[in-house]
Formats: sequence, structure tokens, C-alpha cells
Amino acid sequence: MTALVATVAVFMSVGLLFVLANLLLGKLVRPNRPSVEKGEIYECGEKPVGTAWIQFDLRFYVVALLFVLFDVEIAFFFPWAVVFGEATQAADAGHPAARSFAAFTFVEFLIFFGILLVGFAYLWRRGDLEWVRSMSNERPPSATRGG
Amino acid sequence: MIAFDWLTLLIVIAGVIAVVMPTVGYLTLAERKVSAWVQDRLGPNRVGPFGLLQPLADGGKFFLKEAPIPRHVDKIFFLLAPAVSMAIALVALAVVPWGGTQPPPDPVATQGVEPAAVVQQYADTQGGYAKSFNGVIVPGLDVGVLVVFALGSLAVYGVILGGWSSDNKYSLLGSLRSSAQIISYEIPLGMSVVGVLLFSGTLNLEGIIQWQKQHGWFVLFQPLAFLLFMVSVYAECNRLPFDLPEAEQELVGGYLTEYGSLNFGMFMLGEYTHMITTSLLMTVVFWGGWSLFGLEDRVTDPIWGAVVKCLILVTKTGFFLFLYLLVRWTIPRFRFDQLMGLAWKVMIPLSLLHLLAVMLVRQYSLSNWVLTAISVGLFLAAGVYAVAFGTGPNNAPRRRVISSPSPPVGEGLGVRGS
Amino acid sequence: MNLTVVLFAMLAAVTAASAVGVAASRSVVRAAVWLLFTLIGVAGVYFLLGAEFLGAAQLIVYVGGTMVLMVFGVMITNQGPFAVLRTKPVEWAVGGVLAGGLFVLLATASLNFVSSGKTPDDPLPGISPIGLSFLGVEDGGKSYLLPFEVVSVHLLVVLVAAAYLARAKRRVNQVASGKEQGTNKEDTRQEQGVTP
Repeated sequence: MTALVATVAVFMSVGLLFVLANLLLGKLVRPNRPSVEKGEIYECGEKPVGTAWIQFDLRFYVVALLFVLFDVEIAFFFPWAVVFGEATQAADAGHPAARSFAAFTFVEFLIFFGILLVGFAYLWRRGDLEWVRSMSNERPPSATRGG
Repeated sequence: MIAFDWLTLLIVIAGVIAVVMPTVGYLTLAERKVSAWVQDRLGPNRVGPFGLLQPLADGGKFFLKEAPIPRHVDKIFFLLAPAVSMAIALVALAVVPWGGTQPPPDPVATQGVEPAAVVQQYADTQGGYAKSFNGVIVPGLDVGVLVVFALGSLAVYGVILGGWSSDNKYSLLGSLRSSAQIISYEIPLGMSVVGVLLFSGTLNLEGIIQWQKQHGWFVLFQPLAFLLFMVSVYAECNRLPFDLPEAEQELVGGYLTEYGSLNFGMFMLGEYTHMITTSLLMTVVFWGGWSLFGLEDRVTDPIWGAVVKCLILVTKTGFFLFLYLLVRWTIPRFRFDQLMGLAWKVMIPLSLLHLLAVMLVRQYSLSNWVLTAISVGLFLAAGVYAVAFGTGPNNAPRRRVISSPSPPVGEGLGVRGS
Repeated sequence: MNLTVVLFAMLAAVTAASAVGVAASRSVVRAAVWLLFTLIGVAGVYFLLGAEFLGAAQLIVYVGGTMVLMVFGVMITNQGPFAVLRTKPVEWAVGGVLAGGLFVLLATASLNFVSSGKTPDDPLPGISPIGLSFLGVEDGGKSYLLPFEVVSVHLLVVLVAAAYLARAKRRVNQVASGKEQGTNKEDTRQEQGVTP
């Protein structure tokens, strides 16, 4: 697999050279007149209040966590899908043993994935997938006015 | 060991970049022309005949405009983000098969064979494959689909880095929205491809094309998977109706707010390259790649054959690119809760049901057309369900007025807008 | 293979340099981004060794998934522009000893591999053997069926725990906002269970 990595490395370096050449060219031809106004945060002319690096909503984190779980699940999908696909192709070509093997992998996979689906159904039922509703459940009176 | 030819490789890579960059330029022109056409305007028509030199003028402006770096940004990541975004979009092009003359070798079985024999067999098939003319930069990659998928999941970093380093509230909000959107839609994307793998039994993109050449295009048998795939890649590319990260009415420019000049240009380049890659992928995985009803086999000369295949592939890709532009002016933007609802409550369950249907069809060796019927049936059932029960993402979300025991005066709503 | 060594040296340099960046950087977010490059470098090593599936899975699960989660987590906790991490000398010492131990372990393992006579260019077969061993088909006396199913249960636990944590946060908000504490739990349940 040296060829693969080498190719990607060459691709990356050519791309990098391309970008750097462009940046250098841009640096040479473009004007550079910094001013205090240009260095300010753009907020449509308003003076920004506070920093943007704030603690943000937890819902984004929950989405990311759900994503990781399903991502791991999909990563397990791929080898299984190849095995199942090959087995059913062999079965279509007339190998009866392959048919029963495919059935076996089918059931195994249903168990594997079914367990996670239980969790997914639970989350759905409890309303954790609702973007707006999960917010309304929060209802801290002090925060209802906040934007 | 595949023979490794530096010179050819450099030429091919330089060729790809030289083809992609102008394509991106003219894609922006096409974008504006199609917009104009949809809205009954003329579009850019001043620079060159029919505005054909407009991309050159735009490119020149990217170089000539001042690139102020605001004082408040995190400078390293601010400059790194556009490069990351563009690099990832470009590398994905390396695995797309543009047309080949010999099918890729199958993976070698390991059961009951001597390891040395396996290695020898692998080397032989790979060697024979490497000698033939294949229009793919990284040939014989066994896990092509997986790599494209992996690179797609990296695209989120350009957005996160750009938004976070800008220290601008619009940027941060835009990048948060965008990253949540990109990761949510990656799941239906992956699942819709699994349905294809169950048929083809390989992750190799060329292998998938070979299967379609023999049995017919996947879009015929799995139209639902194609639809899910297409919607997901639209969301991944931040294209309308999913362009919430850059929703200009509310977020100015989203994560791009503080960028200007060439840094902005690199983000745009990455975005449009991503569009090209995903269009190619749609073509390769669902629309038969470079095959067109046996037309590509009429040409027997290997070089001309490769050219014809490449032309077929490019034509199909062009159609999907046109669709990208057309959809932009057809479907209005989603609201963020609708967007997340669509991913988690519509597309993921649908893709799961579809996957189950594919598994059953394969297991009981039913006709592929049964799957077409199931696909259409699932789609219609989802539509009927959404209309009948009214919980679809396009209906109003059920915001509830919270009944607190003694509501304080002046605080009626219990819902905080996001 | 000379080219392989050069490539490995490049990948190893990237991986090691960014790993040092993780340890040395004082900003949490910067550390997270350095970790990102470390993981990409490791994926590159996997590809170099011919473990295509492992490399792609590393990219998908760790780089594309877990790191997004970590960056989000860092952003959630990161109060103020740069939450500054100051490493105490004791922590440097402990970390240094642990890193040294790990280095010795890995070096021993690598040298054993060299003496086993295999070369990095031995191509590994496709991903179906991986799938087969997940599904419990004996491959060289190893069956991974049980771990495969246990992974699923593990994911379920994480899923439910994540949902629970997200809700616990909400309850904290309610408590903080001065609501009566006793009925909070039931309240939340009721609201979430009933769909109008």
C-alpha cells in the first residue's frame, strides 16, 4: 500500500504547493492597508458585547454523541455488508451452503443492530430527538427571555 | 507491489487540478446563469461574450482584494481552516474512477491457502491490473467507498476551525449549525450506501460500476437509497435547501463572515469541489458510472474507450451539477429544527427500513424489481404518514405552551427561539 | 523498500510532532486540534501497512466522529477565550515516565516484528475476512462473535447514558432557577412522555 500513501502524499504536496503559490502571488499583488476598523469584529456595525467563545447549547453535544454511536455502528456495517453481499451472490450462483450462511449472518446482524435500535426508539419516545421540545422542557424561568 | 511512476502521477495530478479549478470557476458562472434563467434575468453578461470570462475576473479579484486578518482571530487556525477545507475536497477526487479498461482484482480468499500463495496471487492480479490503463489516480483501492465517506466526515473540520477561530458570534453559530448538520446527515449517507454494498459485495468503486454494468443501474432498484443519498450530500455541501450555516438573513455569512479575499476563495473552491466530488459519486454509485447501455463497449481501442467512458461520466456528473443549481432556486430553506428532524426522524428510519428491505430481498433471492416496488412504497408510505399524522418535519413542530403553576406576568412563551 | 521508509518517516514525524503539540499546548482547543493531526497520522500508518479498512475506520470513527465530539466538548467547557492549562512539574514527571514506558513497550513490539521476518509490503486481504471474524467464522482459531455483540450492548449503554446526562443538565438548570426540587424529576418525565 506504499503506492496509495505515496500517491496521496504527492497529491497533498502538489495541492499545498498550489495553494502556497497562490497565497504568495496574492501577497505580492494585493494591497495591504490595515486600519483599526478592519481589525474589529464584524457585527453589522454594532459594538460587539463580550467574546464569541461562549459555552454553547448542550443539544449540539448530544447530537455529536448520537452521531458517534451511529458512526461506529456504520463502521461495523461495512465488513458485514461485504460478507453478506458475497454470501448471497454465491447463493445465487448455486451454493446452498452460502444461503444458510447468509441467513446466519442476517440474524446475527439483526441482533447487533436491534440492540442499538432499542436505544434509538427509547430516545425518540423520550423526546430527546426533538430539537424544539427538548428546549421547552428546560423552562428555567430566568432563561425564557433570553434569545 | 504496484509499480509506482512519479512522472505519470505528477502529470495526472497536475491534470486533475488543472481541470478541476476551471471547472469550479465555470460552475460559479453556471450557478449565476442558472439563477438568472430561473428568475428570468440575464445574469452576468459584461465580461467577455455571454459573460464567459466572468470566472477569470472573479479569480483576479480574489488575488487583488486586500485580505485583512482581524486582530481578534486565532491566527493559526484562521489561516489553516480554508486550506483544510480545500485539501480534503481535493483528495476525495483521487479515488473516483474516471473510466477503466480492466475490472479490478477481487479480494483474495485467505481460507485454506498458503499465505505465500495469497501474496503471490494478490501481486499477480494487482500487477495485471496496474498494467492496464485506468482512469483513477489511486487504482485498486479496496475500500474506495469507505475512503470517500471518511474524507467526507473530515470536511466538518474546515467549518469548525473557521467558525471557532473567527471569534465572531455569527461565525460560531454558523459553524455549530453546520457541523451538527454535516454529522447528522452523514448517517443516512452511509446507510444508503450500505444497501448498494449488499448487492455488489465490494467496497471498490470500480467493482460497483462492474456490477451495475452487468445487472443494471442501482437507481433502478434502489431509488429511495439514491434519494436519501442525494439529500444527504446536499446537506453535506451546505447547499440550499440546507444552507443554514450561511443563512445570510440571520447569520450574515455564517462561518465565512470574517473571511475575505483568497481565504474566502479557498473555502468556496473547497465547497464547489465538494459538489463535483459528490456528483461524481452519485453517478458512480447509483447511475452506472461510465457505463451507458453498452455504448462504451462499442469502442474497442483502449485509449478511445477510456475517453468515451470519461465523457459519459462527465456528462452524467454535469447533469447532477445542474440539478444542484436548479434545486437551489426551487426549494426554500429549512428551519434548523426541521433540518434536524428530517435527518433523525425521517431519513435515518427510512434508510433503516430500506436496508432491511434490501437484506430480505437478497436473503430470499427475490427479483431486484421487488426492491424497486418496496422503495417506492416506503417513500409513499412516509409521505402518507407525514400528511396523516402531521408530525413530519415540514409541518409546524409541536411547540407546547408550558403551563407553569402561576405564570409570572409578561412571560407567556415557554419556548426560547434558537 | 526505501520509499516506504521515507513515507513512514514522514507520517511518524507528523504524528509525533502533533502528539508533542497536544501535550505542550496550553489551550484546550489547540490541544484538541493537534490530537486531530495525530489521529490522521496514525490512519496514514495503517494505510501504509495495507490495513485499508482499519485506516478508513480510524478516519471515520476517531477523526470524523470522536474528535468532533471532543471538539464540541472542549467548546462547551471552554469558558473564556483560551482556557489556559498549566502543567505542573509533577505532571510533567509522571507523564514523562508513562510516555517512556509506552515507548519501551512499543519499541520492543516493533523490534519483535522486524525479527519475525514479515515485511510491511505484505498485502493484507480485503475486508471480508474482518467481517467473517466478526460473524464468528473461525479464522486462525479466533472468533470475535461475542465481542461483536458486546460492542452493540456497550453502544446502547452509552446512548442511554448520553440521553440521561443531557436531561440531568436540564434538571440542574431547573434547580438553579429556584423551582421546587422535589417534584422536578416527575415533572420532566411527565412532560417528555406525553405528546399532545
